[in-house]
Amino acid sequence: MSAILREPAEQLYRAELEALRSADRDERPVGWGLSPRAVRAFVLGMQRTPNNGAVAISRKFYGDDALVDRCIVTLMSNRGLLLVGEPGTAKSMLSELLAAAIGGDSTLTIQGTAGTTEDQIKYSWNYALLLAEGPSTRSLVPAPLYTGMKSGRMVRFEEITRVQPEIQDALISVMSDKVIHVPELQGEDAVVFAARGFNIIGTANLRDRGVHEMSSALKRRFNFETVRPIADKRLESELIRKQVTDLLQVAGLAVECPPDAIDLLVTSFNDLRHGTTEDGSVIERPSAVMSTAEAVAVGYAACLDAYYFGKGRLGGAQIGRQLVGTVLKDNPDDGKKLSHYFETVVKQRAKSAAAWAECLAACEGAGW
Amino acid sequence: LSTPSVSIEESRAWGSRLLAGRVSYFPIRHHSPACAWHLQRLIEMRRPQTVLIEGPSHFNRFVELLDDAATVPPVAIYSYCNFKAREGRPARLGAYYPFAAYSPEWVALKSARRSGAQVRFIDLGFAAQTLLDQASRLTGRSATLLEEHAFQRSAWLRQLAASLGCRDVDELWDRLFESWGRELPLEEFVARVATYCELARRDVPVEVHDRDGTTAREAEMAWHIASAAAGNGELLVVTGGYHTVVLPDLVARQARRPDIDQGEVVVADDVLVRYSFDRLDRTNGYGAGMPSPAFYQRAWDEPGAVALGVLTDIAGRARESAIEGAPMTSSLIAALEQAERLACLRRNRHPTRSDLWDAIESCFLQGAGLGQSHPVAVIARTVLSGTQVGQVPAAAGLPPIVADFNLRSRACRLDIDSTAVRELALDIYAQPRTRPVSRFLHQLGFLQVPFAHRVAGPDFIGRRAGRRRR
Repeated sequence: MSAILREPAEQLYRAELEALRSADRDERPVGWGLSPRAVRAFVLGMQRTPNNGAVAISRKFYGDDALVDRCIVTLMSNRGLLLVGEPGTAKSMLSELLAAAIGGDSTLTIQGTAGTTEDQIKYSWNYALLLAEGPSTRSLVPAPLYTGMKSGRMVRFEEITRVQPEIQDALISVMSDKVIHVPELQGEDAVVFAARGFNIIGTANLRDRGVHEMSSALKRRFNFETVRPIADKRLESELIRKQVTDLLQVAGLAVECPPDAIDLLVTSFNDLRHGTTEDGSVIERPSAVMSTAEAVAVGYAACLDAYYFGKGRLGGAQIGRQLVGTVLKDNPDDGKKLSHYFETVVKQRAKSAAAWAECLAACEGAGW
Repeated sequence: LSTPSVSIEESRAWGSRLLAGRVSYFPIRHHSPACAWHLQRLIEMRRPQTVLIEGPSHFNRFVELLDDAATVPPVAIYSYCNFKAREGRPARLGAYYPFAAYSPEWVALKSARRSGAQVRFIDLGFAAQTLLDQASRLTGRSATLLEEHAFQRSAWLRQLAASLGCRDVDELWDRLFESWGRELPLEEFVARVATYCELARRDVPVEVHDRDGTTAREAEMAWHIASAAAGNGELLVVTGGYHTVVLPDLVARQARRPDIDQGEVVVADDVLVRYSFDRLDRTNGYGAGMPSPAFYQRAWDEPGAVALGVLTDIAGRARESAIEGAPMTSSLIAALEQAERLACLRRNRHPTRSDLWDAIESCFLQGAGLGQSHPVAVIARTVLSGTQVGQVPAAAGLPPIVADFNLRSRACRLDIDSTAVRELALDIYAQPRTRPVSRFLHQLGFLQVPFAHRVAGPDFIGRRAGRRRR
């Protein structure tokens, strides 16, 4: 077991990337570690193992294969890639996978916040060295963009719209001229040209839109790709099951996840996300984020509950308790909406399905 | 799901079997330019004496008219019939049989006539088809006789599409046939289409074919083929590939012609009418052929130039309408590059319809979906769907009500040769000659003819002009 709590994609999937690289016969764009088709195979999985070897390539992104094609192609072009979508739709995961597959490094990441400054994007100084020796490449502290341009790798810019517009606009010249100026230095060091293989993968959250709108000059330098929630319930179940079992395996816990419990999890999330149930009854949609990522978190937490406080078997009761915690965040109306959901939908289903009955009982026991 | 498998040898054997004899069979997908292209070359090369086409045999009287120089596709033959009243069945049914310039049926008819061949339609009549089809696929306002549910339904084709990274069966078809089709030798192309259809057919139980009339239709076609083969000369049979794969056996077994009791039919007739691209477009809910007909029209005209043409048209129209975010030259370059690179990634010869849609979504829409109301998405849908309307010669005859409509529209100077939506402002107070136009449009509105709707009306207190959009 790795000592690192969460390994970056290029380490987690090192064997897969290695297998793809050795089997890769297609042309690679200059600066890319893999060909576009191999990058696609890394993200979307392969039916056969590369070179008929022992390493299977697993599917890591579900629901929209064409989106992945578009992303890969965009990253070969002069434009950056901006992944937009609701929270929890795996934008950051996709960005990490692409950076890991293309440049072999997903750690050149700028986390956008209201306090992000240009230094944190481009470069800053080691002030002790700066005072002692004056500006030099030794006293310069490179930030992810500087490093990515110099080494020709993908730079990830998370939550780009949380950054103030004038700071965001620092990217404009970088993206059109592919160059950073370092006016403090002299000669060759004063201009850093981007090596081939460099590009930017941004992510932006639709719920935060309007916090800081992007300037149209910057927008033009990105291709926008909207990552939507997984529409296919069967795919979503498969993904949630896989991710929960992966998490359990990393934690070294043996918990049984019966299909009816996973189904309860996926169905309840789908109902609350869309505001309608499968049989068409309309329910009120809570304002809390009901994404696939949230469902995985609920599933995992429910498994921990089952492992440490239950009999090691995931059931409706554990999911019900975690679900309440997820929906109830800060909006008191969500509480009413959730009890309405239990009253009208869960009660009906509890009559015929054991998992739903357990879920209902657990929530009623907790005062719901 | 068990995966049916076919070896390459088996597939090639089918292909050569279909083309080998005095009677050759060409499998098509309706509205496929790649099929049309190969079919045209086959007819020019072999110059068959008779060309038999899937389509009700009462269409034979339209052959001359369809071949008339004044007939410009898209046109359609509209068939309708009235039945004696009976519980659970509509009293009247009608359906279109559309032809675009790139439809294999159209191309077969035109090339056959050019080379002096006789053209005949060989399917069951429309009334018989509707009587047989118990699930009645031929309902609704714009049903068509060229539906291809089997391809959309086939679980195996959907699985194949998914494993090749295609969103749906249409994208699969484009990748397998439209993209590289013209590069393939004729026999190879026919073999592949036949294999595709054969595999789609293996999914479907025989009872389904009995229930929806397919069995009877195929027996009828086989009977026509056998009768025509009794004469001399080479014969070419052009049918949907789904039927082609079983026809040689049926002909060899001398299948009996089905006898269908048509006592319940009161009236059955058909008429050649103008058709439009927006109705050909399956994405508009008309259930026929392929989506985005204007794309395939361009692909038929000049396959290498489609992406650039479509993208510049979209950008041009967006700029004309002064839409915010109309694509400028840099976006155009980016979109063309995107389309070409996507085609390369997916191993397509030229950007396919899906590659082009993807490029438009990536480079023009800034996060809006293609199905949404983003103004550039609306323009893109119109450009790919097309607004052309066909022409039929005067000899085709017109139902009196249509003739009257045409006459009045022309008198009012209303454009009925395009389906593009436009706005018309009628100043009925200042200009007396606009009043009949206003009256005519109101009459159409009263009759619920979906031709125009009022977007702003006369306000009798403010005395403003009436405006209509059509």
